Amino acid sequence: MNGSLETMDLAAAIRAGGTKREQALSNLYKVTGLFFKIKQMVTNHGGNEEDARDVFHEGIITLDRKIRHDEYEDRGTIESYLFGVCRFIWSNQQRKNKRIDLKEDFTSYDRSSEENPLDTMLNNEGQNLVASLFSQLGENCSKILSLWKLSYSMNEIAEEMGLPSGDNARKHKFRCYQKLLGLIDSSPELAHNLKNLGQ
Amino acid sequence: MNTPDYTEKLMSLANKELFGDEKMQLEKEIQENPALREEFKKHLLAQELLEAFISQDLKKKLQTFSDQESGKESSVAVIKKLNPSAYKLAIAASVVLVLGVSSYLFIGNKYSYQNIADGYSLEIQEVRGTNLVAEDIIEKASDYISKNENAMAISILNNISPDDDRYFIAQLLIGKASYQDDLISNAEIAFQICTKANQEDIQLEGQYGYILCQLKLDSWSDKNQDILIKLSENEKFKYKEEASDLLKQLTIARFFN
Repeated sequence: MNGSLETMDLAAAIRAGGTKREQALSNLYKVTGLFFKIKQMVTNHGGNEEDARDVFHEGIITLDRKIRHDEYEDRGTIESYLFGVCRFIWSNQQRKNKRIDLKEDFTSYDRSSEENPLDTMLNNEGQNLVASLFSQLGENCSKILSLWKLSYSMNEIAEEMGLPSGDNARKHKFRCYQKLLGLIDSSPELAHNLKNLGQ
Repeated sequence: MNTPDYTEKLMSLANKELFGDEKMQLEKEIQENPALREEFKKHLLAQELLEAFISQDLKKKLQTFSDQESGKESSVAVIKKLNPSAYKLAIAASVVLVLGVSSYLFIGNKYSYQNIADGYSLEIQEVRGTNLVAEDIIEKASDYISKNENAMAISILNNISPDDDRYFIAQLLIGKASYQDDLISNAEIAFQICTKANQEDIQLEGQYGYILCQLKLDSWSDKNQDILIKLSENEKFKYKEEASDLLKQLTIARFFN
């Protein structure tokens, strides 16, 4: 894929969720030269190609989340925004690793996401916890709830899951959600997160 | 409070699906009722967990894209696997073709795109800006480039972020420095970024740099030809004459390529 993506179209597709979001993210991944540029930035600041790939993936995940949560400011091209996000991720990681002393103003990308409890959950320990929780929840429930969270309509969820109707999908979703709440209640690790939430 | 009705409402509020009076009413109740507040926290955590799950899922998908990109089979490998006799025939045809092309190249093809591009250069200028930090970087980088220390220049220019108003100038210099160091793919990306600048002069220089990179990469198209025609006719473009001259060369070259 060549050239710049239409920022509005891409953001709208991600917000719309469903297959449109998947297509938009896949297109974003294939923008010519975008990964190369991020690789250039990471390797110029002490990283290697594997680091660059990780940063690129984390950048896309962050961008996806910011767009879906209406935290994305449409000020320039989506590529330059993603590049800014990746710079922030890499500088943050460098700071944590204390490998090189970076200037405080390495990037002007907003740092509010540092306080996001989700970031805590996305560290290695947190990832294992999330994976274990959703494996207890079961594949179908995990899928129904994530489709709901990704703004699929109840009819689309029904179609995706092979359920007879949107109403039926709604009932399934609710049961799965209650199951998720039950798992949260029974997990001591999550109880700790619960205390920090909303403070 | 743990009735299905409340659970449904709290779930909708946590997922930002509740609006208007219903939302305000529930938020008020949450504020006034500590037990309900604790219950709502659980719903917020459920949402965060779902987000984390979605991120993990996306990460897996991105890894698949990445594996697909690196695992793409070459067309030769595919032909070899699908049709071994066609592969042998292709080898024989390639040998004949290579011999023919080599004899042509040995007598010197002054019309090859790469040779034509060699005759044109990208002027490096010192750029002055208004933003103090970025200006320092740009001046230092210009200095490095004039001394042919292009890697140093690129390294410091990369510190100018996309949010900075000097970003596109920095990209233009990265393009020029990379081009000077024969890092054509890097130059191509930087010039491509410049084509999105608001300042017209940077945009035009970006287009010109991109065109020269395309020639160096031997990747010419009608679209590039159209861009070059526009540049050669644009009075505001400071390398208009060079662009016009390059266009003439390419018109001749098309007969030989």
